[in-house]
Amino acid sequence: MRADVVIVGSGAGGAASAWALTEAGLHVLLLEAGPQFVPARDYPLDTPDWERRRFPAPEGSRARILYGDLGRLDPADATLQGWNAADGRAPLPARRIASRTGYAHVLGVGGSTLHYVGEAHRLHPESFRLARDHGAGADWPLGYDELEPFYTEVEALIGVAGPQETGARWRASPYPQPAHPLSPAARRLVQAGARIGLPFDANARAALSRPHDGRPPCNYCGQCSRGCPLGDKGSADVTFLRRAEATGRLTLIPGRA
Amino acid sequence: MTRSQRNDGADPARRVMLRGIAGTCLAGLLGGPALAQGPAPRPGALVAFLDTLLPADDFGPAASALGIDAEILAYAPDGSDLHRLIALGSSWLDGLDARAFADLPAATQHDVLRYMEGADRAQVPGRFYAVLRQFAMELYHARADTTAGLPLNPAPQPEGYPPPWN
Repeated sequence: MRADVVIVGSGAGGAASAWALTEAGLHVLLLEAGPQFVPARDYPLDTPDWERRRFPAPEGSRARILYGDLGRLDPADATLQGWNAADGRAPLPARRIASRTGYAHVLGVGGSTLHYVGEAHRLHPESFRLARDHGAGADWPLGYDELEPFYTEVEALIGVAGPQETGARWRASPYPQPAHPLSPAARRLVQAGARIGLPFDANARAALSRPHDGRPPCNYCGQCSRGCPLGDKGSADVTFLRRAEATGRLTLIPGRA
Repeated sequence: MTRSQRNDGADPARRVMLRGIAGTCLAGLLGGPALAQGPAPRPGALVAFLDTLLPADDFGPAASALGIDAEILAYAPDGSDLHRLIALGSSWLDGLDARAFADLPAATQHDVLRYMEGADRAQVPGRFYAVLRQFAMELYHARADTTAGLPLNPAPQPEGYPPPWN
């Protein structure tokens, strides 16, 4: 086998690169340390004991990840401190510890997009120039206007559902899918916000609100982070990698199944 | 508090007594040798606690009949925070009276859990109640035979929850 390009890792970056390169006519060898997940087998959300399982962890799908602590909050920024009704506020300057539950790294074909919840926001245009405008962080080497056509391209491929309103994140064309309907709780929030002049928009989601590319629309089971058995969530395996494989120019070698 | 609220007429004086006992035992547990020695989980207290939360009724068997206590302990290997919490909490329950918690009258067991429900979650009784209740409810209702008599959709797929939502 001869490949023009070898890509290591089939997560969001590797998968999108494989798609772009194969579409451009190159032969790509994609190496993935983790296994290929099978939605119907690995994301069983139709059995009574579904709540006992979180995202599946077949052999070879968990890397040894070390979580650094999140540092200490400057007492001058105490207003940024998180709190909850059960535990109140941690004393300052407490060291913040990363939770070991919730979001975690996934080794597998599609990477951590397999269990992400499908948030699909564009970066705010002003966030490209934080160093210049605010003296914090670093500026991006390109601006929103240069990135916008690529946002549009991948949103169309994935099937991102979003609102008509764009705000500062201007768009050359509307979202390819209509926004998902607001839940009753979200509607109440919108109504309350309107009374105080605080507008809310529907969230942009990489989950289909209409059939797209042979994938069904979301049926709102609300378990995106446990893996999407329908394939409506735009994880890299059902979007970029499926398209790349369709070119016949992708060779994917996953780890142990 | 529990699936079967059958003890709303509990004697207020008994509650006051239990609160006093609870405070005394908690102070002793957290500040005394019990913590340093690392008490072991007390299975009898754990079973009685779970069966008070989830007793047998018209809708399903008691938690212990389904082995929920063993399932929870399987999530709590030695050295884990959950193992330590179960050990401290079940020891606290058994230390409330000369009798083991499992041997207390059902009404008193209910009163104890009612106290724990409102207790500070940063302390053992409140934390034990909150965490163990969460575990127990999730594991118990993961069994198909606990929802057979209830109008519940037991799993989110294959139907999902499509709109319209009211």
